[in-house]
Amino acid sequence: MTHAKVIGHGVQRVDARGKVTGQTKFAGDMQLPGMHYGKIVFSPHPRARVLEIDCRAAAAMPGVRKVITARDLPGSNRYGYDVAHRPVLVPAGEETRYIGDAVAMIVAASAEIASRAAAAVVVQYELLEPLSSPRQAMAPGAYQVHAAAPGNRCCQREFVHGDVKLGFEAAEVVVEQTYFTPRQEQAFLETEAGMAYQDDAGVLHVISCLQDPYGVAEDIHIALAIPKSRIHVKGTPVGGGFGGKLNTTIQVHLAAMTCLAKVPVMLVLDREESFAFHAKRHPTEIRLKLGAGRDGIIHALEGEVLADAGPYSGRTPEVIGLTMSALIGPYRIPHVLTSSIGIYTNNLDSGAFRGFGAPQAAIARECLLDKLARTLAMDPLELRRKNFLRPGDKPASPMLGDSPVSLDLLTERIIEKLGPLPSAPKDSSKRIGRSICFDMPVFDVGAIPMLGKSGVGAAVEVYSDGGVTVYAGGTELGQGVTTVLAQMAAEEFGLPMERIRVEMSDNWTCPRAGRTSASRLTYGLGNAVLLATGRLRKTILARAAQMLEISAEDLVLEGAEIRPKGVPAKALSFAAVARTCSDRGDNLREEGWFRSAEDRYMYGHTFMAAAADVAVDVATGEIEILKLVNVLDMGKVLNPVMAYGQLYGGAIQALGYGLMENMVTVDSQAKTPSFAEYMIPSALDVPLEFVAEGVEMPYPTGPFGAKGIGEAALNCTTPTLLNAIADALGVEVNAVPIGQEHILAAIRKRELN
Amino acid sequence: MVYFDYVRPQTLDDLLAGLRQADNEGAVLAGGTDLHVKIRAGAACPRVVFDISNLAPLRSIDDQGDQLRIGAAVSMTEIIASATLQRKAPALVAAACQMSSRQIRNRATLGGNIVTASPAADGIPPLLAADATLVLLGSAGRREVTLAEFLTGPGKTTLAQNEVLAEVLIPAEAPGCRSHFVKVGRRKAQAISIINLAGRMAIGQDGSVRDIRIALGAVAPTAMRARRAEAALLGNLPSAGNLAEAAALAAAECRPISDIRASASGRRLLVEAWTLRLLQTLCDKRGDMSGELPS
Amino acid sequence: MTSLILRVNGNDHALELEPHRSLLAVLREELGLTGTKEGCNAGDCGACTVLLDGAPVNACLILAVQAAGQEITTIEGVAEEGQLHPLQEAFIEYGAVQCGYCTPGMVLSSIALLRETPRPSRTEIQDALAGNLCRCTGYVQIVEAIQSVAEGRK
Repeated sequence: MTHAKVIGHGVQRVDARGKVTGQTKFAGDMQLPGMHYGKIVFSPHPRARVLEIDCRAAAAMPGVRKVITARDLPGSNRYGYDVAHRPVLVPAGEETRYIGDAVAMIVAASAEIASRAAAAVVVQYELLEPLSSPRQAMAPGAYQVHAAAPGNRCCQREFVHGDVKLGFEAAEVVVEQTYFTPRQEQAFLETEAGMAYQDDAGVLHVISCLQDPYGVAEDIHIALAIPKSRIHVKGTPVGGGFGGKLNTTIQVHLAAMTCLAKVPVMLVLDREESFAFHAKRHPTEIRLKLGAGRDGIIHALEGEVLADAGPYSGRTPEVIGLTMSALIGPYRIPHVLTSSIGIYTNNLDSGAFRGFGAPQAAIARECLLDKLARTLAMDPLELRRKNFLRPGDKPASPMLGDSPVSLDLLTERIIEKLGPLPSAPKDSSKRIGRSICFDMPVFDVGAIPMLGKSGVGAAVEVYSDGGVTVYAGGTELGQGVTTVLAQMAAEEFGLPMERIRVEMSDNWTCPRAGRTSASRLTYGLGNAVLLATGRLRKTILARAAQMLEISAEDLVLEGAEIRPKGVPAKALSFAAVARTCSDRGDNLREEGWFRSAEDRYMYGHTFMAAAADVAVDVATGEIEILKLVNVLDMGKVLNPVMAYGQLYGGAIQALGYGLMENMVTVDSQAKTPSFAEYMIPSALDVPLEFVAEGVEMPYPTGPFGAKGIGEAALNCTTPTLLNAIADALGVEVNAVPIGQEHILAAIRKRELN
Repeated sequence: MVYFDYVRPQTLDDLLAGLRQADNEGAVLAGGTDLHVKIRAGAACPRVVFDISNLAPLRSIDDQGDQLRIGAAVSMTEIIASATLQRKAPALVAAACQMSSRQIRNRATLGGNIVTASPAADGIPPLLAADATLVLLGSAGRREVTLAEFLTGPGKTTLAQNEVLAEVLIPAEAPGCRSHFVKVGRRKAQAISIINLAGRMAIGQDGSVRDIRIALGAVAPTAMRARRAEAALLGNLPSAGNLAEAAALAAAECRPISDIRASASGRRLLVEAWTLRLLQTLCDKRGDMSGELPS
Repeated sequence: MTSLILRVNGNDHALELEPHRSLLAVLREELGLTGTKEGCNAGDCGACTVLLDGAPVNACLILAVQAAGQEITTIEGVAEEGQLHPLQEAFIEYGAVQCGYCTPGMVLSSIALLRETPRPSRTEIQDALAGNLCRCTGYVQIVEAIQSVAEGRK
């Protein structure tokens, strides 16, 4: 291949101009003639039996087009990923399972009228006591959230590697701790929104912010009994998803509204509804135990993950399955026994959030490693290095492909970027702490066990004027996939970026590409695009070879031209060749279908290091992050500006996770349902110095050697901050988020002991 | 969602007449940063909204020599920008700087911050520490109440029906007085305070504490003075020991609750730690204190 | 209903409105200016930031009737005749845009900052943006973009 012109460069995002000028249309920005507005009536009670729903007053209000209850719905009134057990609307006679359950829906001429009508729906409830914690839900005799789930068990898994009993017998030192992680809210700025209409052929069109148009179509089909061939789902540019829009959100409700009211409908959740409604990062309790020799070599790891699944299954089995396997991290541990249990409760729903279960595991693992280091009086970095996977090692949990072990390179780079330890400021009540942590982030490599190993498709079309459209069913969440795919096509065709248009997230125009999650698009969709462009290159080169009367092998695609190697004068423009192809009836639209070489592997893996220097004021508990460094093995950095943007963004979400974020529930009611109460980091919370770096150890099956990188930064940044704080204070941290008062309490406790 | 009429009175008399006419169904709109949120949440449902944001008498900051007068509709941004207040009410300016966001500070008013009467309001402790008095206008004419008397509970005040907060009066500080404000939030901006505190201290010729006021926010139903802590310091030479003792007293006398932002015990720890830091700052002594204060 | 004239991006719009409607709702629903985003409708996120006589405010917390007589600038009024503002150029170049939902508000807060403080420190930039939440970028590249304009690199 010739020297990359586009790949590896920080080319401008293809969607940036629309976004900086406010021209980009998000779901809530759209309009259609005759458009009405929807409003969902949610249950105010986490658990209550719906006795009666009186819609008369609401239906009588001027401007109200339709009031809908479960009785009006066609189909099964059930949907949901993993288990389709979530009602679209809770019917009279049934129980609600959380405050995000809906009981009625309004369609009205304006959003205001819809809100007023929703308030006028009178629902009689019989209040029942909710299950507000997994422990409570596991207790003998606890009521069952789902009849089919005895003991409220959503899922239970075990991972065995070696013989953990033997391992602990060989250990000279054993450390153990239980870690508590909070419910983290994705806090995307754009709430769930969408517009739907039916066309004259009876086709339902749903245009919405989502992460999986195919999953949404499936759910609409199941819940409302609409034939799949009549469901068109189009994803809009998403104003942040982070996993929170991975499950079907409002789209089934929206579809029902438009089908029953027979008008185009716009539905936008308000912030409080949004926070109550979508599935968040699982709160977990993780008991972890490590056994090691005095030399620091780890012999055994045992871990138990207990997660609050919330009311519905969704991604819980997959997410906490990953928590369980991620407890091992990038270390060679001969004997491992880990398990995970997800328990149904009436709390807010739990599901996918960037990192997909791995951030919880990283907190427990990396914090316990530091505890082990303190017990052994060993440098924590030294301890980790002794236990790193070595070149040629395979991770204990099976992963696709030979990802080169880059841990030594990461260590070298992070130490270089970190520089000397800052000295304590003159203000003597400040203590300095440092930590370096590691992780082995994973990314979906195309096989999706639960969807029948569907593979990933993409289509590419070359037009007779030399322009190109890529049809890619993934979704642009802001991560930049549109730009990366355009870069790949531009590189392959030797065209400037402006010639490439990427059509994304559409279950009709784009070949089936699955969900946008698990850092899977650059790898899976990228490979699919390369398969399609490869076929088109062949067609185009063959035609150009004929036109130039030379062999296709002697031609290069470069600078929007096709020319014989070393003979620039004989160049044909790409457009001229495309025109000829078109005139001669060559197929200029190709599909690429990428399937992982070995279907049994769900994930590939990579390596990451994070480091932090902090100053903690022991007099006040104040934490100042002096420096944060993230170094990730990206395989190949396809676009440094965007790739580092993923590291910065992920790390600041991790900072929030460690220091401030917790979607509190009391008696299963959300207590922090606003941005004033649920705090995410502001611009002022960003560390003084923040370095993001990529290292490149090419991934053999990755497009241009690239790996999936979108989630990685979230994983090990949180424990790095916690360990740096612990290092500064000599006080152990086992619960997040940690605030000033917790630090003061820990210091006070130590003083008393 | 509530429908209401919007009135922009041109004079204070128009405002008061309008409020009377609205017969308890009127609401005063200054910055709107609290009122609109309340209306949307159903916590307020006025029939008429009176916009006072352009009423000139409520918009000025005057140095009257023996006291500062701040109009109730003065915005936080205007407080921050006021050279007079920077010089004469630095703790109030510091509180305004740390309050919420620039967008909110451009609208939110001092009067609104007081009348909303959140226990965590950042504007209140500096005023409480400065012995501020409020001027209220109503059907019965003009009356003055101290800020301490005005605040009776979370969201509760002695503001009478159809009465308006017009001015905040702050007695001039004695020369040599120092004041300071501290805010503890979960993040560095736009945070509802977990605790906040303000203090004012004057040291006499002999080096002893001549005047001390400590006001604590978010640790009681209303912002409160830490009287026992103050008493422990007044008349004494500030030493590491008695500053620490005062801080411990402040933590003991506050009455925090546990809520989503922090536990009661966590708040007490914060009150003690930050009261000590506040006092150290007020007597210009930071870090480890071992000896006597240099005079 | 109240009659009023709103001056938005240099153009006067005569409107008949119910007075309870927020400036945000009116910009989006009556004037079709959907670049101003709703993120919380409570003044907590800054996605609806517009400039009112040059000062950044949350359009969700202002009644449209209150804004009558003032100069309102929305994101649609920032680029002049297709020519991007230097801050918009810098946001693109420095990777300050991801999902883009906070971007209009961010750009307007940045414009107000540089008008008031042409050479802001890093902390001044962070403080000026503290009312504009961004969940994607970690703010780093946004701050870099603003610095580049302030330092004349853009």
